[in-house]
Amino acid sequence: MSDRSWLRLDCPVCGGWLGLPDGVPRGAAAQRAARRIDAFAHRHRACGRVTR
Amino acid sequence: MRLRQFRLVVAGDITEERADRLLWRAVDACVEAGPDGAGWVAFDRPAPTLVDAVVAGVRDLDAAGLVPDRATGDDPLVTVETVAERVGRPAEVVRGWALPPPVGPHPRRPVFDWPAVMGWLVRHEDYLVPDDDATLEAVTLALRVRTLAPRVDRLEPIRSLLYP
Repeated sequence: MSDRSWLRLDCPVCGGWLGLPDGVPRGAAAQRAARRIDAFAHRHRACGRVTR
Repeated sequence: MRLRQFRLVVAGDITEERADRLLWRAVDACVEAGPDGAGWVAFDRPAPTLVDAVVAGVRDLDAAGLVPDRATGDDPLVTVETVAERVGRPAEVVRGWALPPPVGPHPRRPVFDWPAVMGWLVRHEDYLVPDDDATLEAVTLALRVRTLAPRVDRLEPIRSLLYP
């Protein structure tokens, strides 16, 4: 079991991944984190599903 | 303090352990690695100037054991919220604009190409494009000098070139 204290999203097809701090407070910081996730997901759309 | 958004491209592998050290230290950072382990760290960092933010980011990577190779502009993929933050308008207002079509259509969270959006903002909203290129290039050149330093006899004469 991982003791990682941050969030990791993986592209199961190409192996690329995104790491971002966990527990980001609501508001602007959360919006910025969501944008990073959206950009990553878009980049890997051609690969397939992105998993947490 | 203004929000500064930029990326530091990493030389070598971004391991889980190094990402752990970085994200423990820098809560405004985000790590993205490609299939080969290479990648970048993106920052959303409030700072008085861009150079303050980038240099602090370099120090964060140093402390995490990551090797910054170059400083570059932010991820070109943006959301409506990113655009709203950059122009200082509410997201609801930006949603009402006839922005260029998203590169990633989505019913709730479309993704846009920032250069295309920026061009639209310049034409329709008098947006002033920030001149970040010189700062990012200067930091990149400093990182190159740092990499070469162990192979250079003395660095002081080179440093003196900064002050004509």
